[in-house]
Amino acid sequence: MNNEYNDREIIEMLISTDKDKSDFAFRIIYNKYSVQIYSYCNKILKDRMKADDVFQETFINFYQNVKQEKINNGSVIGYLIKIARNKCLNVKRDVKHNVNTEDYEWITADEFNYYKQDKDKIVKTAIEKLEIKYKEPFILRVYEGLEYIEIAEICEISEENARKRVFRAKQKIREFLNPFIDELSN
Amino acid sequence: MDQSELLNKFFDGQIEPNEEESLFNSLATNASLRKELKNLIDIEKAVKSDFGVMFPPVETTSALFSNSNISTQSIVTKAPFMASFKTLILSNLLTLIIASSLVYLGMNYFNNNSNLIKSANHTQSSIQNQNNAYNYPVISNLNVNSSNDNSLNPNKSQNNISNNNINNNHIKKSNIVGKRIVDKSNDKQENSNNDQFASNPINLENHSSDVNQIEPPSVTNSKFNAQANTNLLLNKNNDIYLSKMQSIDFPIPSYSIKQLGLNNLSLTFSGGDSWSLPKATVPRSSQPLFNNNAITLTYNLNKNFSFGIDFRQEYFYQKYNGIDKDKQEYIYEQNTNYSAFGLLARENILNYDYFKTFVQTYLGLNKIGPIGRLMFGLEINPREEYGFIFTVEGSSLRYFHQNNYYWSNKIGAYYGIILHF
Repeated sequence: MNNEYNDREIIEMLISTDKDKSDFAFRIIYNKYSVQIYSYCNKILKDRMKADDVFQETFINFYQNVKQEKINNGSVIGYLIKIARNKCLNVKRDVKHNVNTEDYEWITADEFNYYKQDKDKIVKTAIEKLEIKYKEPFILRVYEGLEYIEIAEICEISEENARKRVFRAKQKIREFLNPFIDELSN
Repeated sequence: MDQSELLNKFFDGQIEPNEEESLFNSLATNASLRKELKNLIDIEKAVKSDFGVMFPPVETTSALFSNSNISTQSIVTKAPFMASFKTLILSNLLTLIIASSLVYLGMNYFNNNSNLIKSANHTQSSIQNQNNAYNYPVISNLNVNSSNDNSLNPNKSQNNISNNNINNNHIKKSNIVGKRIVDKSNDKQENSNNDQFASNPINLENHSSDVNQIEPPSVTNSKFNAQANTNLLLNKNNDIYLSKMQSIDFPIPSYSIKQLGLNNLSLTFSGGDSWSLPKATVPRSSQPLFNNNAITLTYNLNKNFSFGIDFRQEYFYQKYNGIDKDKQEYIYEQNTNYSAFGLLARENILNYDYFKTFVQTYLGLNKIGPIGRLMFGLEINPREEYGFIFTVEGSSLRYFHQNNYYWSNKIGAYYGIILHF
């Protein structure tokens, strides 16, 4: 039933003065995009508690902004991710824990054995260790499936820059994964 | 743009045709680029394997909707009554119509069989009546005798006995019967008879009277004697045959309801709806065709007590806790349709001819656990063959998840048709 409405119609219903209709529109949006936003928050923050908070704030903020007619065009998912991104950056600004790429080479034998046990953890760790400016476009591209132009809009960079950052993110992941490439191939 | 960037564009699906040609040419000649491609494929594969979507926990969703003061109910606009309950009413009515039709056809079949039995019995009795005119049924192809006008004339028949081979059969018959007679009479008389068949009609007459001594009285009719004699060509033991014919019943199977002992059975088809306690906060998972419909077969042990079996499809709203593989605790909610099968006992409280109330207990199972029910009902029987039933009930389902037991409770209201056999 939710697929019967496009984003424009949902927004119109959302700004309606009829609360039932407005609530209905919000439920459609929530059902449609909550998984994407929640995944994004978790992948960016790597902290479920913080991700929960940001996730909730994102939707509340979205609802309030739409009610104040601050959004009239553009994709709903783009707008939601933009809100989520800003909130994630605020959280990360408070707790700066991203690791410089130079640290990648510093892997102990224990870590190596630990990673070998779980291939998923290798990839997750590699992504986690990315700088936010690379990590964010990479996640939006690979996990959220957004186009470069949408990534550019969200990250407030040019489309070409978005493309380059995704490429650079992949290179950095490859550099990190190089010691484990054989493991991953098996 | 270097080759690595081209590879990236290739994986993004955004490579231009001329760039693709250039890349493929480089791959053909550049071993390190091929290795880079293999590495890239492995990384893409690994990244995709990490592509785990994450669902927001139920409590996060609840908190969000609560903080935003947004309703979680799925109905937006108040639909008209018929629109809201159309599916439910139609599915229930459809079930009742189909079930009633099946039962009607089934009962019609039984009735037809009963008619067949009646018809067959009627035929049998007709035959018997017809035969009564001759005292016994007649099966005969003895044209010789039938062409013999004397066959129906005992006196003439007796005269004919000594005349020819055909009539020797009569003699044989007489001998056979005579043997039986011998058991009760004496050899001398039989020998005398045999000796005097041709010459002494009086002896034959005596012999015939001996036969009559052991046959049923009706056989004394001289017509029978003649006809019985005509059967000799079909069966030498025709006296036995006749005896069998006298008592034989046609082997027609009997299928009538009473003959099958089904006259104390009642079949109920009912439909309705149920409401979870506490109220379900998630929508029902599906709408199967026979949702919230039940079929119940009861056996009336006496006027006030009956027991039976019940099969139905129904929803149970479940709310339970669980921990996922990452040790994260969740509250799970589901509103799932299950098929349940159970045994019931029904006790009538008020019991009048056309009206009765009853209380019913139920113990059953569905695929996740046992179910108990308590039902109060009203039955109105305008005719002996059928009635209408209205019930309210409370149900509890017990189920198990991750070492914990949970209960799912609900109340329900049902209506239906009851057919009495």
